[in-house]
Amino acid sequence: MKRNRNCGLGRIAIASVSLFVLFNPPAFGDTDLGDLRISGELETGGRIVSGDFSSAPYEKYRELRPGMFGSGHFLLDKPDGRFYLRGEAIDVGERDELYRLELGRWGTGRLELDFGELRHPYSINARSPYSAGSDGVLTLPSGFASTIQGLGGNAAKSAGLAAALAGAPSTSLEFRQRSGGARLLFKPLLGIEFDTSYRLHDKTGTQPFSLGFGSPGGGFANFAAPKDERIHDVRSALRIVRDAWNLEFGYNGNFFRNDLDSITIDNPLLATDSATASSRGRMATAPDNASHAFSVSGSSSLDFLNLDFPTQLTGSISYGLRTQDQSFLPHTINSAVASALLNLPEDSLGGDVRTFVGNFQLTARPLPRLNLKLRHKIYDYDNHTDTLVLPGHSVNDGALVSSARSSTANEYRRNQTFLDASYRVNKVAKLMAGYEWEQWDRSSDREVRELDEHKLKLGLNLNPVRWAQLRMKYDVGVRRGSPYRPFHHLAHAVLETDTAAAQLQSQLVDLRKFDEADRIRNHFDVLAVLLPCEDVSVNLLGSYTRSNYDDSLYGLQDDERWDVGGDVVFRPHERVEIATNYSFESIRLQQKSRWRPRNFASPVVVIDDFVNDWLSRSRDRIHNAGLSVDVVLIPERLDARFGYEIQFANASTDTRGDSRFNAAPPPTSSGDGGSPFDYPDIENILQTFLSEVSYHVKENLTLKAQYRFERYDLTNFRFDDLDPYEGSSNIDGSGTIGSSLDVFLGNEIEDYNAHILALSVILEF
Amino acid sequence: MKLVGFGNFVFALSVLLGCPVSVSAEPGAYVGDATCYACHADTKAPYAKTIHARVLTPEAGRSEKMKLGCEACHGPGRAHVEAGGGKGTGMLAFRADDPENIAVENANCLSCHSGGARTHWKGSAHDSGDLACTGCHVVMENRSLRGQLREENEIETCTGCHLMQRAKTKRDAHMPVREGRLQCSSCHNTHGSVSESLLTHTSVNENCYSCHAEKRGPFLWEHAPVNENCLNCHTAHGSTRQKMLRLEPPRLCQQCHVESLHPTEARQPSNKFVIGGACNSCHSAIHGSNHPSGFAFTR
Repeated sequence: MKRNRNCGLGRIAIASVSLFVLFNPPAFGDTDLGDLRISGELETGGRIVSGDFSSAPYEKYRELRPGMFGSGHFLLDKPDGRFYLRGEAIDVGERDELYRLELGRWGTGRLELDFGELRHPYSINARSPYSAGSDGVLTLPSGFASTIQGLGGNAAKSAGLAAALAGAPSTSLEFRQRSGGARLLFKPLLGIEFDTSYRLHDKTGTQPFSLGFGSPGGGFANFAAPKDERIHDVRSALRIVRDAWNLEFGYNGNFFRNDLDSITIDNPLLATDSATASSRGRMATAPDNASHAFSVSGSSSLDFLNLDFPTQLTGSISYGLRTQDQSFLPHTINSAVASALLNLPEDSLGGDVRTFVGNFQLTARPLPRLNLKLRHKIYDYDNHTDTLVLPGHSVNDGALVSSARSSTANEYRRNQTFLDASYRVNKVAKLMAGYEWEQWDRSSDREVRELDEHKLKLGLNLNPVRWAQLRMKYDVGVRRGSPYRPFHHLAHAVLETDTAAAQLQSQLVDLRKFDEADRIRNHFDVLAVLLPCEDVSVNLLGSYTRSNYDDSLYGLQDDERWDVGGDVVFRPHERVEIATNYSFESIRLQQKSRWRPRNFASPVVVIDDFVNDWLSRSRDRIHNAGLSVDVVLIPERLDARFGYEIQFANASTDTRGDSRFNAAPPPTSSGDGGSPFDYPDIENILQTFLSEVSYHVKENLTLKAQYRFERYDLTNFRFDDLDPYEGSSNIDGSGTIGSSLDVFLGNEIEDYNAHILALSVILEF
Repeated sequence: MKLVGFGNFVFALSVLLGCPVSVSAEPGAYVGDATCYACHADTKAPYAKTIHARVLTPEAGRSEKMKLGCEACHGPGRAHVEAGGGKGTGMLAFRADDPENIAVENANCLSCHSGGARTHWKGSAHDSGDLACTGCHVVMENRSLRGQLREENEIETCTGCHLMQRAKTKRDAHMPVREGRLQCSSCHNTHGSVSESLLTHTSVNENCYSCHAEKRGPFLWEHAPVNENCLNCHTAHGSTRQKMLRLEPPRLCQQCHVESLHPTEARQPSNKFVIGGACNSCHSAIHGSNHPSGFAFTR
């Protein structure tokens, strides 16, 4: 209610200002106000919208609803140009409003204040039987779970669930972010600057979340999880700038606070706790955490070395500390599961990560046409968090598992060295060459400890004529790692002696995770800028990148992406400007997998048979095109603008089996036998048509009429027609449909089309 | 008392450091703004609205150079005036079409605007690419509300060259860039940085965590690729896939997981491992979990 009142007040204010401006237009230009002068712009008006625009994508990050709207900015300063106050207001009173205010003295300092908010809707069709209570507890209607629990067999339970979910009420699935900040920048003397700021991000609302109640592949429930989070960001810097050197001391503190420690939901299938399943599930939310970073950076032209050529040394070091010490939740909320094995070794993690970043760069021009650059960067992620051994656990609040798990203090160090040279041959050509080395040194919980990439770079800049520039770059990189240890991460996820647990989690030994895999990458970039005459400009670009994971028998094998694009701006007449653009991007990924059926009884037996191998090729193809025309119909009186933009995106995943999957069932009947399936294409089309006419009543008063048509069409099989109950979602590879015991959110992503007509008055003062 | 102490500190520091930004030319080489406007009258009105016009004056200038007005940036004008105007008379014209002059002109801008966000300009991608300050900024008139940008806003300015990034902001899953609530400079420092892609922070993840701090941890159970690089799974500028993912799950997850626990097959398109939240329907804490039983990111 409070929100609506604010909106109403804001819009009434806008309407009042509109009427005032229409009938009492102030003078144009810097308006004298005694010792002060003011200038700025104000736009207010009304908007009507028709069409089918009840859609989350329509409202994402913006508000375009029928009603009044207004934006404006102003600058108030003294004629001697010293002190000033300037402000900006965008979308006043709407839920994407933004305000900025700045008070200062030019060149000396300023105080900046800002506030804004943003909507993040996911879907307007979400439906859920859960009701949100306090402290992140979501409950089902009375009798919901007990009724289903009382039904015999999965088929009956599934039917009962379908009936119970049929009338699931709609639920809000949107969070709002409000951000506000203050910054003080002060230069007490030329060359000395203090800069300090504080910013708060507040996120409240709901977001889609899910909890599982069985494992593996057992029932799960999707729900609208409450969100109540804040991020505090503090920055401070002292900068000293001299002719020959500069230095900066900085601090950045970032603090995350979550008002919800956990989220608890009812199990839709079970009303009573038992030793094997729980009537409720509880998960830990993102814990409170803090990050501090202290940095020193600067550069020097090294004049004291008295070199005969220009040089510059730039350096930056940063030391960071990340902490997290939120109290642990108990292993389970299930009252029927209790064991000394679930005693926690510590009350909290005592998370302690230290980061160090060092970056040093030396640039020099030993010859008038030769530039050299040597740079080294180190990023060290040093995890001091203690490893905890938890003797038992409860998977998804279900049965006690007396198998220990050990946490991992994952850490890594990344080194990068760059050596670049460029030589200007003449006014027309500049040649560039470079070498880059990158090394990852990871902790022993990763499959590859050391990974080195060597890259060779070549480039050519051409300016054949004053109106044309051509830039081309090519680089090739070869990445090789130390021996891949497929089971090594398990040694740290489970205890090394626990072979049964290791088997349960085993990955295919020939799999290579792409971020650790050997790779050969080729990359080519080209950009052309042509300005053949004052009335024509042309930009053309293209790039091609292929990453071949040459040692990956399974996993991502090939990543190929290329794009082309260009835009042309043409002024055939002094009163007409035509701009057009087109771009196309293609992304193709090839990866190989294997169906590895297994039993769920001891001893575990996994079937690893190459006839169960299959391959997928995923491809994104995205076209963007646009055309706009700006016309001055009557000089200084009537302007018009017309524009059309379209994006067409298609994403496909096609599969191919080396042969039909092995029909032999796994050791016990738990397999999914069958063939790999192509996924239906995902397509979206976004079209925007804009026409706008501006009539300049006076030099400083403009009436603007704008018609905008937007249409968004999405075809996405993952969300289209998604209902809270999906009867065919428990389908195996043979096409056999099992009983569905899962709860979905029904969070479809809606298409929209909207005709937006806006009339506004714009005043410059 | 504390403020007095602070003032003393600032004074001592300033005495110690002195003031930068010197004027190198002979005093007689300068002609003053009035002489410039005698020929360049059309530039006066639009320039008068800019911040530079307010700062580069004898009254407001904080250094000898800043008091010089037009000649603070364009250099001494005596020779230009005596030659009757025209090119090749020693003045800096800030025309972006002469690559050999760009370094000289940029150095002139940096004589006042060095340090801070521009500490890492030298050798940066844009410096190496012969990009002139005036390639992105316009000093003689206000085209943008802030930053003296060449176009109306940052996005239009940057995407003049980075056309593909502009196209990506139109995609289904995107940051609030096309809505104007994030700017290119929210993540990138176009003047140079210590990170790849001119990121403002020291790494990709540090950049993302400044707004998505809930994913920072450290967690009891870490998902190692998350720790190393958000871009292992996400794209930054926009994606056809939901949540700005590089690929739809389960195929995204299957790039690194060929399990026995979940037989890794293509699955029917209507299967629960594919629709809705897919893998995240159970592994919902995929960025890391602080739950004692959350080692598989299910709690």
